[in-house]
Amino acid sequence: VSGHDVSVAGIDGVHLSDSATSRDVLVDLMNRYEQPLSGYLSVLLSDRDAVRDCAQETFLRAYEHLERGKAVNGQWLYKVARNKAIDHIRHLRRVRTAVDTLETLDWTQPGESERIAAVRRTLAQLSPDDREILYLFIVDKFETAEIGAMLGIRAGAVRVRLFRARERFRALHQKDRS
Amino acid sequence: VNRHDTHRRLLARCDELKGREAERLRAHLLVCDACRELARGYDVQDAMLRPLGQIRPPPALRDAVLASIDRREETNKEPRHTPPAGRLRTWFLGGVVAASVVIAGAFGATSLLDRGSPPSVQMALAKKGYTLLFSRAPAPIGRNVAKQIALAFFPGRVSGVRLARVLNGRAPAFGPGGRLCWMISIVPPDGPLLTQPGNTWLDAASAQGRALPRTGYLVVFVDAKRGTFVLASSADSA
Repeated sequence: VSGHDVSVAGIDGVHLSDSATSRDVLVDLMNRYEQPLSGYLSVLLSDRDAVRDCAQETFLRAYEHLERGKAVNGQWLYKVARNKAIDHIRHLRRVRTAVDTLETLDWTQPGESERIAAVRRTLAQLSPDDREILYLFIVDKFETAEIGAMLGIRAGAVRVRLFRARERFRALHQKDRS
Repeated sequence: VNRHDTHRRLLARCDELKGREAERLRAHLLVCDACRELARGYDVQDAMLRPLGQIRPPPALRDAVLASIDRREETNKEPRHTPPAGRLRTWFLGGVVAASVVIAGAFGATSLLDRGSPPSVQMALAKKGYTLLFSRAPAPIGRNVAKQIALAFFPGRVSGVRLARVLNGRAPAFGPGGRLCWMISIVPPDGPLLTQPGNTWLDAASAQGRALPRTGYLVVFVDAKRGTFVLASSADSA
Protein backbone atom coordinates (compact mmCIF):
# COMPACT_ATOMS: atom_id res chain seq x y z
CA VAL A 1 0.00 0.00 0.00
CA SER A 2 1.46 3.27 -1.03
CA GLY A 3 1.89 6.27 1.19
CA HIS A 4 -0.36 9.31 1.01
CA ASP A 5 -0.04 12.98 1.14
CA VAL A 6 -3.19 13.41 3.11
CA SER A 7 -4.95 16.44 4.33
CA VAL A 8 -8.09 15.42 6.13
CA ALA A 9 -10.27 18.38 6.90
CA GLY A 10 -13.63 18.45 8.55
CA ILE A 11 -14.80 19.21 12.03
CA ASP A 12 -11.19 19.09 13.16
CA GLY A 13 -8.38 19.14 10.70
CA VAL A 14 -6.04 16.16 10.68
CA HIS A 15 -2.70 15.97 9.02
CA LEU A 16 -1.00 12.64 8.71
CA SER A 17 2.53 12.00 7.66
CA ASP A 18 3.42 11.21 4.09
CA SER A 19 4.21 7.65 5.05
CA ALA A 20 0.70 6.94 6.34
CA THR A 21 -0.99 4.05 4.56
CA SER A 22 -4.60 4.02 3.47
CA ARG A 23 -5.34 1.78 6.41
CA ASP A 24 -3.71 4.24 8.84
CA VAL A 25 -5.75 7.07 7.42
CA LEU A 26 -8.92 5.03 7.57
CA VAL A 27 -8.32 4.11 11.21
CA ASP A 28 -7.84 7.79 11.97
CA LEU A 29 -11.02 8.65 10.13
CA MET A 30 -12.88 5.96 12.03
CA ASN A 31 -11.54 7.29 15.33
CA ARG A 32 -13.02 10.64 14.46
CA TYR A 33 -16.15 9.81 12.54
CA GLU A 34 -17.34 6.37 13.59
CA GLN A 35 -19.52 7.81 16.31
CA PRO A 36 -20.80 10.99 14.63
CA LEU A 37 -21.45 9.22 11.36
CA SER A 38 -23.39 6.48 13.14
CA GLY A 39 -25.40 9.14 14.92
CA TYR A 40 -26.12 10.90 11.66
CA LEU A 41 -27.20 7.68 9.95
CA SER A 42 -29.36 6.78 12.93
CA VAL A 43 -31.33 9.96 12.37
CA LEU A 44 -31.90 9.05 8.73
CA LEU A 45 -32.55 5.34 8.96
CA SER A 46 -35.05 3.33 10.88
CA ASP A 47 -33.07 0.32 11.99
CA ARG A 48 -29.64 -0.25 13.34
CA ASP A 49 -28.71 -2.98 10.89
CA ALA A 50 -29.13 -0.46 8.11
CA VAL A 51 -27.02 2.04 10.05
CA ARG A 52 -24.29 -0.53 10.43
CA ASP A 53 -24.36 -1.54 6.77
CA CYS A 54 -24.32 2.03 5.50
CA ALA A 55 -21.54 3.02 7.88
CA GLN A 56 -19.53 -0.02 6.90
CA GLU A 57 -19.96 0.61 3.20
CA THR A 58 -19.06 4.26 3.68
CA PHE A 59 -15.77 3.44 5.37
CA LEU A 60 -14.96 0.77 2.80
CA ARG A 61 -15.65 3.29 0.08
CA ALA A 62 -13.35 5.73 1.87
CA TYR A 63 -10.63 3.13 1.88
CA GLU A 64 -11.03 2.55 -1.86
CA HIS A 65 -10.90 6.30 -2.39
CA LEU A 66 -7.72 6.55 -0.35
CA GLU A 67 -6.21 3.65 -2.24
CA ARG A 68 -6.67 5.60 -5.43
CA GLY A 69 -4.61 8.37 -3.86
CA LYS A 70 -7.52 10.71 -3.24
CA ALA A 71 -8.15 12.66 -0.05
CA VAL A 72 -11.09 11.93 2.21
CA ASN A 73 -12.52 14.36 4.71
CA GLY A 74 -15.49 14.56 7.02
CA GLN A 75 -17.74 16.19 4.46
CA TRP A 76 -16.92 13.51 1.93
CA LEU A 77 -17.80 10.81 4.46
CA TYR A 78 -21.12 12.42 5.33
CA LYS A 79 -21.96 12.81 1.68
CA VAL A 80 -21.24 9.17 0.91
CA ALA A 81 -23.08 8.01 4.03
CA ARG A 82 -26.07 10.10 3.04
CA ASN A 83 -26.11 8.62 -0.45
CA LYS A 84 -25.90 5.12 1.00
CA ALA A 85 -28.80 5.92 3.32
CA ILE A 86 -30.87 7.31 0.45
CA ASP A 87 -30.16 4.21 -1.63
CA HIS A 88 -31.23 2.07 1.27
CA ILE A 89 -34.42 4.04 1.82
CA ARG A 90 -35.30 3.93 -1.88
CA HIS A 91 -34.79 0.22 -1.88
CA LEU A 92 -37.01 -0.23 1.15
CA ARG A 93 -39.65 1.95 -0.43
CA ARG A 94 -39.77 -0.40 -3.35
CA VAL A 95 -39.83 -3.47 -1.16
CA ARG A 96 -42.22 -2.28 1.50
CA THR A 97 -45.08 -0.36 0.06
CA ALA A 98 -47.14 -0.25 3.21
CA VAL A 99 -44.72 1.54 5.45
CA ASP A 100 -42.62 4.48 4.51
CA THR A 101 -39.59 3.96 6.69
CA LEU A 102 -38.58 7.54 6.22
CA GLU A 103 -41.43 8.46 8.46
CA THR A 104 -40.70 5.92 11.13
CA LEU A 105 -37.78 6.27 13.41
CA ASP A 106 -38.42 4.13 16.41
CA TRP A 107 -35.22 2.43 17.33
CA THR A 108 -33.43 3.24 20.50
CA GLN A 109 -30.01 2.43 21.78
CA PRO A 110 -29.77 -0.20 24.49
CA GLY A 111 -29.58 1.65 27.78
CA GLU A 112 -30.65 4.93 26.21
CA SER A 113 -32.40 7.22 28.64
CA GLU A 114 -36.09 7.90 28.40
CA ARG A 115 -35.27 11.56 27.79
CA ILE A 116 -33.29 10.77 24.65
CA ALA A 117 -35.89 8.27 23.55
CA ALA A 118 -38.48 11.03 23.86
CA VAL A 119 -36.35 13.32 21.71
CA ARG A 120 -36.15 10.58 19.10
CA ARG A 121 -39.90 10.20 19.13
CA THR A 122 -40.33 13.92 18.55
CA LEU A 123 -37.72 13.85 15.80
CA ALA A 124 -39.48 10.93 14.18
CA GLN A 125 -42.47 13.15 13.55
CA LEU A 126 -40.37 15.49 11.44
CA SER A 127 -39.50 14.97 7.80
CA PRO A 128 -36.13 13.35 7.06
CA ASP A 129 -34.91 16.67 5.64
CA ASP A 130 -35.73 18.44 8.88
CA ARG A 131 -34.13 15.72 10.99
CA GLU A 132 -31.02 15.76 8.90
CA ILE A 133 -30.51 19.49 8.97
CA LEU A 134 -31.10 19.75 12.71
CA TYR A 135 -28.65 16.95 13.32
CA LEU A 136 -25.93 18.33 11.08
CA PHE A 137 -26.16 21.85 12.47
CA ILE A 138 -26.92 21.29 16.14
CA VAL A 139 -25.33 17.95 16.93
CA ASP A 140 -22.46 17.78 14.47
CA LYS A 141 -21.99 21.55 14.45
CA PHE A 142 -21.42 21.92 10.76
CA GLU A 143 -21.83 25.43 9.43
CA THR A 144 -24.67 26.10 7.03
CA ALA A 145 -22.24 26.58 4.13
CA GLU A 146 -20.69 23.17 4.84
CA ILE A 147 -24.12 21.56 5.02
CA GLY A 148 -24.99 23.20 1.73
CA ALA A 149 -21.88 21.69 0.14
CA MET A 150 -22.82 18.26 1.48
CA LEU A 151 -26.43 18.40 0.37
CA GLY A 152 -25.77 20.15 -2.91
CA ILE A 153 -27.84 23.22 -2.08
CA ARG A 154 -27.01 26.84 -1.36
CA ALA A 155 -26.17 27.99 2.14
CA GLY A 156 -29.15 30.38 2.01
CA ALA A 157 -31.50 27.45 1.39
CA VAL A 158 -29.94 25.57 4.31
CA ARG A 159 -30.58 28.55 6.58
CA VAL A 160 -34.22 28.72 5.60
CA ARG A 161 -34.62 24.98 6.11
CA LEU A 162 -32.85 25.14 9.44
CA PHE A 163 -35.11 27.88 10.73
CA ARG A 164 -38.22 26.02 9.62
CA ALA A 165 -36.99 22.73 11.06
CA ARG A 166 -36.26 24.38 14.39
CA GLU A 167 -39.71 25.90 14.47
CA ARG A 168 -41.39 22.61 13.62
CA PHE A 169 -39.38 20.77 16.25
CA ARG A 170 -40.25 23.42 18.81
CA ALA A 171 -43.95 23.19 18.00
CA LEU A 172 -43.92 19.40 18.21
CA HIS A 173 -42.03 19.44 21.47
CA GLN A 174 -44.49 21.89 22.99
CA LYS A 175 -47.36 19.74 21.75
CA ASP A 176 -45.83 16.60 23.23
CA ARG A 177 -45.28 18.32 26.56
CA SER A 178 -48.80 19.61 26.73
CA VAL B 1 -39.88 39.19 5.96
CA ASN B 2 -39.90 41.94 8.55
CA ARG B 3 -37.02 42.93 10.75
CA HIS B 4 -38.23 40.76 13.61
CA ASP B 5 -38.32 37.70 11.38
CA THR B 6 -34.82 38.43 10.17
CA HIS B 7 -33.59 38.23 13.74
CA ARG B 8 -35.47 35.02 14.37
CA ARG B 9 -33.72 33.47 11.39
CA LEU B 10 -30.39 34.67 12.71
CA LEU B 11 -31.21 33.14 16.06
CA ALA B 12 -31.77 29.76 14.44
CA ARG B 13 -28.11 29.70 13.47
CA CYS B 14 -26.60 31.95 16.10
CA ASP B 15 -23.79 29.46 16.77
CA GLU B 16 -22.18 30.29 13.46
CA LEU B 17 -22.74 34.05 13.48
CA LYS B 18 -19.71 36.26 13.43
CA GLY B 19 -18.89 39.97 13.25
CA ARG B 20 -21.61 42.32 12.23
CA GLU B 21 -24.40 39.74 12.16
CA ALA B 22 -23.61 38.57 15.68
CA GLU B 23 -23.44 42.16 16.87
CA ARG B 24 -26.77 43.02 15.28
CA LEU B 25 -28.46 40.04 16.92
CA ARG B 26 -27.00 40.86 20.32
CA ALA B 27 -28.31 44.40 20.08
CA HIS B 28 -31.76 43.19 19.10
CA LEU B 29 -31.94 40.69 21.97
CA LEU B 30 -31.37 43.51 24.43
CA VAL B 31 -34.61 45.12 23.41
CA CYS B 32 -36.83 42.23 22.29
CA ASP B 33 -38.45 39.98 24.88
CA ALA B 34 -39.97 37.66 22.27
CA CYS B 35 -36.61 36.95 20.65
CA ARG B 36 -34.97 36.42 24.04
CA GLU B 37 -37.63 33.86 24.78
CA LEU B 38 -37.03 32.20 21.43
CA ALA B 39 -33.27 32.17 22.07
CA ARG B 40 -33.92 30.32 25.34
CA GLY B 41 -36.15 27.89 23.47
CA TYR B 42 -33.42 27.19 20.94
CA ASP B 43 -30.91 26.66 23.73
CA VAL B 44 -33.21 24.04 25.21
CA GLN B 45 -33.61 22.49 21.78
CA ASP B 46 -29.84 22.26 21.36
CA ALA B 47 -29.46 20.69 24.78
CA MET B 48 -32.12 18.12 23.91
CA LEU B 49 -30.64 17.16 20.56
CA ARG B 50 -26.93 17.09 21.32
CA PRO B 51 -26.96 13.83 23.30
CA LEU B 52 -28.04 12.13 20.07
CA GLY B 53 -24.46 12.55 18.93
CA GLN B 54 -23.28 10.30 21.74
CA ILE B 55 -24.79 7.25 20.12
CA ARG B 56 -22.62 4.17 20.33
CA PRO B 57 -21.42 3.04 16.92
CA PRO B 58 -22.89 -0.27 15.83
CA PRO B 59 -21.06 -3.12 17.51
CA ALA B 60 -18.19 -4.62 15.57
CA LEU B 61 -18.43 -1.97 12.85
CA ARG B 62 -14.75 -1.17 13.06
CA ASP B 63 -13.74 -4.82 13.22
CA ALA B 64 -15.86 -5.64 10.18
CA VAL B 65 -14.41 -2.78 8.14
CA LEU B 66 -10.82 -3.56 9.06
CA ALA B 67 -11.31 -7.28 8.53
CA SER B 68 -12.66 -6.56 5.07
CA ILE B 69 -9.65 -4.43 4.28
CA ASP B 70 -7.23 -7.01 5.64
CA ARG B 71 -8.86 -9.68 3.53
CA ARG B 72 -8.68 -7.43 0.52
CA GLU B 73 -5.01 -6.70 1.07
CA GLU B 74 -4.33 -10.36 1.63
CA THR B 75 -6.18 -11.20 -1.53
CA ASN B 76 -4.14 -8.71 -3.50
CA LYS B 77 -0.95 -10.30 -2.25
CA GLU B 78 -2.06 -13.85 -3.00
CA PRO B 79 -4.52 -13.68 -5.83
CA ARG B 80 -4.93 -17.40 -6.39
CA HIS B 81 -4.61 -18.74 -2.90
CA THR B 82 -6.61 -21.89 -2.21
CA PRO B 83 -7.86 -22.13 1.36
CA PRO B 84 -6.76 -25.21 3.24
CA ALA B 85 -9.56 -27.69 3.56
CA GLY B 86 -9.04 -27.90 7.30
CA ARG B 87 -9.66 -24.22 7.71
CA LEU B 88 -12.83 -24.40 5.71
CA ARG B 89 -13.99 -27.30 7.80
CA THR B 90 -13.34 -25.30 10.95
CA TRP B 91 -15.37 -22.41 9.63
CA PHE B 92 -18.23 -24.68 8.85
CA LEU B 93 -18.09 -26.62 12.08
CA GLY B 94 -17.87 -23.36 13.98
CA GLY B 95 -21.14 -22.30 12.50
CA VAL B 96 -19.86 -19.41 10.45
CA VAL B 97 -22.54 -20.07 7.91
CA ALA B 98 -25.75 -19.82 9.82
CA ALA B 99 -28.22 -20.79 7.19
CA SER B 100 -28.13 -23.60 4.76
CA VAL B 101 -24.94 -23.79 2.84
CA VAL B 102 -25.21 -25.50 -0.41
CA ILE B 103 -23.06 -24.60 -3.30
CA ALA B 104 -22.95 -24.26 -6.58
CA GLY B 105 -23.32 -24.61 -10.24
CA ALA B 106 -20.22 -25.69 -12.00
CA PHE B 107 -20.20 -25.46 -15.70
CA GLY B 108 -18.22 -26.81 -18.56
CA ALA B 109 -14.82 -25.84 -19.78
CA THR B 110 -16.28 -23.62 -22.43
CA SER B 111 -17.82 -21.43 -19.77
CA LEU B 112 -14.42 -20.61 -18.49
CA LEU B 113 -13.49 -19.21 -21.83
CA ASP B 114 -16.30 -16.69 -21.75
CA ARG B 115 -15.84 -15.87 -18.10
CA GLY B 116 -18.06 -13.01 -17.09
CA SER B 117 -20.67 -13.71 -19.70
CA PRO B 118 -23.96 -13.72 -17.77
CA PRO B 119 -26.03 -15.56 -20.41
CA SER B 120 -23.97 -18.74 -20.14
CA VAL B 121 -24.36 -18.84 -16.39
CA GLN B 122 -27.97 -17.87 -16.67
CA MET B 123 -28.65 -20.61 -19.21
CA ALA B 124 -26.90 -23.23 -17.15
CA LEU B 125 -28.91 -22.25 -14.10
CA ALA B 126 -32.09 -22.10 -16.15
CA LYS B 127 -31.66 -25.79 -16.93
CA LYS B 128 -31.87 -26.40 -13.22
CA GLY B 129 -35.07 -24.41 -12.90
CA TYR B 130 -33.58 -21.06 -11.90
CA THR B 131 -34.75 -17.73 -13.18
CA LEU B 132 -32.49 -14.78 -12.51
CA LEU B 133 -33.90 -11.30 -12.65
CA PHE B 134 -30.85 -9.09 -12.55
CA SER B 135 -31.25 -5.90 -10.65
CA ARG B 136 -29.34 -2.68 -10.14
CA ALA B 137 -31.36 -1.69 -7.10
CA PRO B 138 -29.50 -1.13 -3.87
CA ALA B 139 -29.57 -4.12 -1.55
CA PRO B 140 -29.54 -4.21 2.27
CA ILE B 141 -26.28 -6.12 2.09
CA GLY B 142 -24.09 -4.12 -0.24
CA ARG B 143 -22.00 -5.47 -3.08
CA ASN B 144 -18.75 -4.99 -1.20
CA VAL B 145 -20.00 -6.77 1.87
CA ALA B 146 -21.32 -9.69 -0.20
CA LYS B 147 -18.03 -9.85 -2.02
CA GLN B 148 -16.11 -9.88 1.23
CA ILE B 149 -18.28 -12.72 2.53
CA ALA B 150 -17.46 -14.73 -0.57
CA LEU B 151 -13.80 -13.81 -0.38
CA ALA B 152 -13.67 -15.16 3.16
CA PHE B 153 -14.40 -18.57 1.69
CA PHE B 154 -12.77 -18.18 -1.70
CA PRO B 155 -9.78 -15.87 -1.26
CA GLY B 156 -8.68 -14.38 -4.52
CA ARG B 157 -11.22 -16.27 -6.56
CA VAL B 158 -14.21 -13.96 -6.83
CA SER B 159 -14.58 -12.97 -10.46
CA GLY B 160 -17.95 -11.27 -10.62
CA VAL B 161 -20.76 -10.07 -8.38
CA ARG B 162 -24.26 -9.33 -9.61
CA LEU B 163 -27.50 -8.68 -7.80
CA ALA B 164 -30.45 -10.77 -8.88
CA ARG B 165 -33.85 -11.86 -7.72
CA VAL B 166 -33.59 -15.61 -7.87
CA LEU B 167 -36.66 -17.74 -8.47
CA ASN B 168 -36.93 -21.47 -8.52
CA GLY B 169 -40.22 -23.27 -8.08
CA ARG B 170 -38.36 -26.47 -7.33
CA ALA B 171 -36.24 -25.01 -4.53
CA PRO B 172 -38.24 -24.01 -1.45
CA ALA B 173 -35.32 -21.97 -0.15
CA PHE B 174 -36.14 -19.29 -2.70
CA GLY B 175 -39.80 -18.94 -1.75
CA PRO B 176 -42.68 -18.14 -4.07
CA GLY B 177 -41.56 -14.57 -4.78
CA GLY B 178 -37.92 -15.42 -5.23
CA ARG B 179 -35.06 -14.24 -3.13
CA LEU B 180 -32.81 -11.24 -3.59
CA CYS B 181 -29.28 -12.55 -3.78
CA TRP B 182 -25.84 -11.56 -4.81
CA MET B 183 -24.75 -14.00 -7.48
CA ILE B 184 -21.04 -14.48 -7.15
CA SER B 185 -18.90 -16.20 -9.72
CA ILE B 186 -15.97 -18.04 -8.26
CA VAL B 187 -12.95 -18.81 -10.36
CA PRO B 188 -12.13 -22.47 -9.89
CA PRO B 189 -8.73 -23.28 -8.54
CA ASP B 190 -6.49 -26.05 -9.69
CA GLY B 191 -7.11 -27.95 -6.50
CA PRO B 192 -10.31 -29.00 -4.76
CA LEU B 193 -13.17 -26.58 -4.39
CA LEU B 194 -15.38 -26.28 -1.36
CA THR B 195 -14.70 -29.75 -0.14
CA GLN B 196 -13.88 -31.79 2.87
CA PRO B 197 -10.57 -33.58 3.17
CA GLY B 198 -10.75 -36.48 0.80
CA ASN B 199 -12.07 -34.27 -1.94
CA THR B 200 -15.79 -34.69 -1.50
CA TRP B 201 -18.50 -32.07 -1.48
CA LEU B 202 -19.30 -30.52 1.84
CA ASP B 203 -22.99 -30.35 1.22
CA ALA B 204 -25.21 -33.34 0.86
CA ALA B 205 -27.14 -32.04 -2.12
CA SER B 206 -24.05 -31.66 -4.22
CA ALA B 207 -22.40 -34.85 -3.11
CA GLN B 208 -24.12 -37.84 -4.67
CA GLY B 209 -20.73 -39.35 -5.45
CA ARG B 210 -20.06 -37.09 -8.39
CA ALA B 211 -16.63 -36.21 -9.62
CA LEU B 212 -15.57 -32.70 -8.73
CA PRO B 213 -15.36 -30.09 -11.42
CA ARG B 214 -11.89 -28.86 -12.13
CA THR B 215 -12.80 -26.22 -14.62
CA GLY B 216 -15.70 -23.90 -15.29
CA TYR B 217 -17.66 -21.65 -13.03
CA LEU B 218 -18.62 -22.07 -9.49
CA VAL B 219 -21.54 -19.83 -8.62
CA VAL B 220 -22.62 -19.06 -5.10
CA PHE B 221 -25.54 -17.00 -3.93
CA VAL B 222 -25.36 -14.73 -0.91
CA ASP B 223 -28.69 -13.63 0.50
CA ALA B 224 -28.78 -9.87 -0.03
CA LYS B 225 -30.67 -9.28 3.19
CA ARG B 226 -29.04 -11.68 5.61
CA GLY B 227 -25.60 -12.15 4.17
CA THR B 228 -25.81 -15.93 4.36
CA PHE B 229 -25.09 -18.39 1.61
CA VAL B 230 -28.19 -19.92 0.14
CA LEU B 231 -28.91 -22.94 -1.93
CA ALA B 232 -27.83 -22.58 -5.51
CA SER B 233 -27.70 -25.81 -7.36
CA SER B 234 -26.14 -29.20 -7.40
CA ALA B 235 -23.10 -29.39 -9.58
CA ASP B 236 -22.52 -30.73 -13.00
CA SER B 237 -19.21 -32.35 -13.53
CA ALA B 238 -16.90 -30.79 -16.01
